[in-house]
Order: sequence, then C-alpha cells, then structure tokens
Amino acid sequence: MIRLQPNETILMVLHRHWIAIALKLLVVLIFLLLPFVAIAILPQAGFDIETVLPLIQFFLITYLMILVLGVFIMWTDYYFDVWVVTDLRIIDIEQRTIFNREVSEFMLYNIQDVTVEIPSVLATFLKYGNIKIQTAGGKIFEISDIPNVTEAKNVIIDHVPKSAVG
Amino acid sequence: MGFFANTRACYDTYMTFGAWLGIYIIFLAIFWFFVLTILRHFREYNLPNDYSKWIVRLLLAAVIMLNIFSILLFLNLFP
Repeated sequence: MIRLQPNETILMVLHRHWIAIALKLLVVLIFLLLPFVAIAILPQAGFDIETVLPLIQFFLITYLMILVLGVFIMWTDYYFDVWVVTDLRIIDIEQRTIFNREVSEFMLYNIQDVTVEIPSVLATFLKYGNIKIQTAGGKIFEISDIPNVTEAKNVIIDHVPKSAVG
Repeated sequence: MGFFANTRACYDTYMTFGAWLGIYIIFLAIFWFFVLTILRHFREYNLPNDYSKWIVRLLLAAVIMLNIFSILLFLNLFP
C-alpha cells in the first residue's frame, strides 16, 4: 500500500493499456484450444480415446489449472506495473516477475524533460503510448503502453512547480 | 499362493498409486505456492477502491473449482 503525505493527493493512476494484456491472453486462448483440437483429431487418427478417458480428463483439468495460474500471473504483472502520479511526486512501481518488484519515486520539481512516444499504428488508433521522464539526477523513468498518453503528459506537466520549468 | 498373489497385486497397485500421489501432491504444493504468493501480493500492494479484487476473486474461484475437479479425477484414476 502506498503511504501518502498528509497534504498529498493522487492525481491519476497509470496502468498499461488493456491491449498489453489482451495480446498475452490471445496466446493463452490458443493454448486453451489446443487440447480440444487434439481430442477432436485423435479419434480420426485411430486413437481410442474411450479407453483412457479418465486420464485425459485428469490431464485436461490439470492443464487448465496451469493456464489459469498463467493468466493469474500475467494479470499480476499487468496490474502492478503502475505509475501513481500525485501532486508532489511520481511513484514508479514495476513488477518484473512475480518475485521481482521495483518501486522508485521522484519529486515533480526534479522533472527536467518529458517525452511522449506513440510507437506504432495500433498505438495511434488505440491512443496509447510511452512516456519517458528525465529527472535532475539524469535518471530516465519510462512507462510503456499508457492509455491517453498526451493527457497524462499534460497532467504531469501542469503540476510541475513553475520554478522547476526551464 | 492366491493370497500372496493378491497381496503382490495390491502392493503393486498401491505403490503405483503412492508414487503418483507423491508427484501430484508436489504439483499441488508448487501450484498453491504461486497462488498464495499472488494473493499475498494483492493483499500487500493493491490500490484502494479499484476493480482488481473482483478479478482476483474470479480467478481464485476458477482455481479452487478446477482444483476440486482435479482431485476428484485423480482419485477416479485409481478405483
């Protein structure tokens, strides 16, 4: 859980665009269909499915368990990859794998340069993109596949203290 | 002789069952280790007032249901 300072308010929470997880779920869907295709094809190839039906049912359910766990892990990775933008700072939370998590934050007055990138045709039509922020320390923070990327950039820029701009 | 033959057959059956049960328990232990780790992540790090808890509940319900079916089917393999 994020601890805010007493006078701090959350301006927005930036998750990745749904397309980022939808593409992964499409792969899971293909894997989901594979055993059913195999069950449909095997009898035509002369394999007697009836004799090993309990075994096939067991392995099918176990296979589905593993797929659901895979979706669970993908969702965790998607959900915890987040930027929390407050009126004082940006908290960059990056969930790399299930056991690899990095949280860093920087104050808005440290922002020196904000870059917005819309990298592809799909990104142009679905209005998502990447934001790169360079801080005074020279470190570059980046978040990918953010929906409404230009609006997000504007909110950040609007809340950078005027003394820090230029 | 018949008694010992039955004992031997029974021993072979249960040893096979025992071996598969061991493998299956290890699988379930690893599986639930990951599920519980994810649940711990959500308890620790979730953001307040968002829709994620419903997705977690949905996935957890699917996992529990599949797990119950899996156990029933496993026991059905060794009548």
